[in-house]
Amino acid sequence: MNNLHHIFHKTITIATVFGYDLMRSFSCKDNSSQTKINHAFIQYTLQQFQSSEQLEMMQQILEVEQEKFSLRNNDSTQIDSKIGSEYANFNRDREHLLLLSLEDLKNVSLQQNQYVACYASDWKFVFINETDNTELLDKIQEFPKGEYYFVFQQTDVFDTILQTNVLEFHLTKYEYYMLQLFEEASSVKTIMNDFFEVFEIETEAQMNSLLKEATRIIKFLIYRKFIVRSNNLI
Amino acid sequence: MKIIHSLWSKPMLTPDGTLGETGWRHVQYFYMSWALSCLTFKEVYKNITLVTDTFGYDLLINKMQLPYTNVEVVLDELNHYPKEFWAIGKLKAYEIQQEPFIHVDGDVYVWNRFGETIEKAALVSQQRDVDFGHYSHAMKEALDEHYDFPEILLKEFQSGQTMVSSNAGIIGGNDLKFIQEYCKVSFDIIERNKNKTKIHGTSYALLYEQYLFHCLAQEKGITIEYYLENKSDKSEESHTFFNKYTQQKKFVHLLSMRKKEMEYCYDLRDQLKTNFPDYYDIIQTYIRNQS
Repeated sequence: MNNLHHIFHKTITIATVFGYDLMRSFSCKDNSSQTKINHAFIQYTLQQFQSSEQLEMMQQILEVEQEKFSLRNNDSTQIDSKIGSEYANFNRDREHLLLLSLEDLKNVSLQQNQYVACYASDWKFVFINETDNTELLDKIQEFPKGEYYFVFQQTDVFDTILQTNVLEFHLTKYEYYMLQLFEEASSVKTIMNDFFEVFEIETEAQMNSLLKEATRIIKFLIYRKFIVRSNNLI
Repeated sequence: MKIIHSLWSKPMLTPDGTLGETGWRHVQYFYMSWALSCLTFKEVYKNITLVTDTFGYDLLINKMQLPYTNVEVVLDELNHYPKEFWAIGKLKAYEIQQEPFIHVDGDVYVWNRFGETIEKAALVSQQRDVDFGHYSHAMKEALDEHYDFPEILLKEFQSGQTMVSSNAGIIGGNDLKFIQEYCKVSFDIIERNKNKTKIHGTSYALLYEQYLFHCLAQEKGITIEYYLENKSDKSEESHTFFNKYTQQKKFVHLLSMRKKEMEYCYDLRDQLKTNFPDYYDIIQTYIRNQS
């Protein structure tokens, strides 16, 4: 039936942990639009859960997957040349940025990539190997309710297995915070100073350690193209 | 130092002679990986030799136009072996070498040399593989099927110590006498057990390739130089392209299940497309023509 298996893969898998086979009993008109089918599926799913914690978890994962669906292009032909050429620029520029010394990098103005959206959730829904159901179930049980951070990245590659061009990445709390600081274009130096302000630094050793971690995070965000040079954005 | 790639195609070919299961998320990433591996080693070491069979020659040289400096088409002679013995193509490539070498897998990429310690070592390997159950499981599975192993393997296994082996992402060295003997023992294991009930091909390869290399070197008192260390802070993990930009050892090995994950395949594609666009285009054209 349509693309529900791809769009709500995690919702369907997590529901099985609670003993629900959503796809067995859900039905809708085959000729409905995908948006209408999604809406009906969300309503149907939420009706199945009575326990407040299960319901809360299902609401979040449905929201997350619906959000991811809204970002994706439908197939490879819809990934237009604009996104392709922008990613080509990002990739070329990444090679330069990551070779700069820290002093030079500090003077560069960077900004969150327009194709990236970051989120927080109460459960760790985002894992790398999301096609493996067993691993997904293990990991959901391994990570209890807490604070989890992740990004969706719209890419220029359509994956035929997952039927999406949106990649998911887990972030640490500090990576998430740093990425948020780059919401507006700003120099790396300014952002680093803003980042340091949230910590109570008492010794030089603490400062050095923090500087090392902040540098690693910024390089990681550049590497993943979560932040890009601000004049690269159209 | 002579750098070698080897590709024995039989394990990946379908009955009609076309490329089937490559271990990658999609066959396009298999092509991209061989291209990126060849091209990065060519940039760093200038020379790279390919040991392959007729199909591999046609694919990598004729179709993908990869700039190997030397090609030896000798692996067709292995085609009487079952495809589950996928690692024997590599063993054959080690066996025929007449000068010191490092064999690198087609999913290994570098942006700087391995360094003098590695290049002058008697024996080298990517890293020490410490058993997380997969080696002991493989050994037990084989012994349950009455596989016949040489004393050096059995003695080490029966010592009860955690199994340690040598990851063959990169493997080789200057001690060609050892390498000849290692290949002989390895092929002997395969010959002696070829009619036994088949065990999982990759599990078996762990034993006759990687575990044997470690055990035989230990038996002879020859030190293996490992390129990467198993650091507790995981700073020498080999599977991320972030290494290219942040590590002293600019080395990536997309081993095992990483090949199936979209994130890594996407990174691989970006690396090839950005740094070797002509070869990326050749692969895209080849894929389009095939379909």
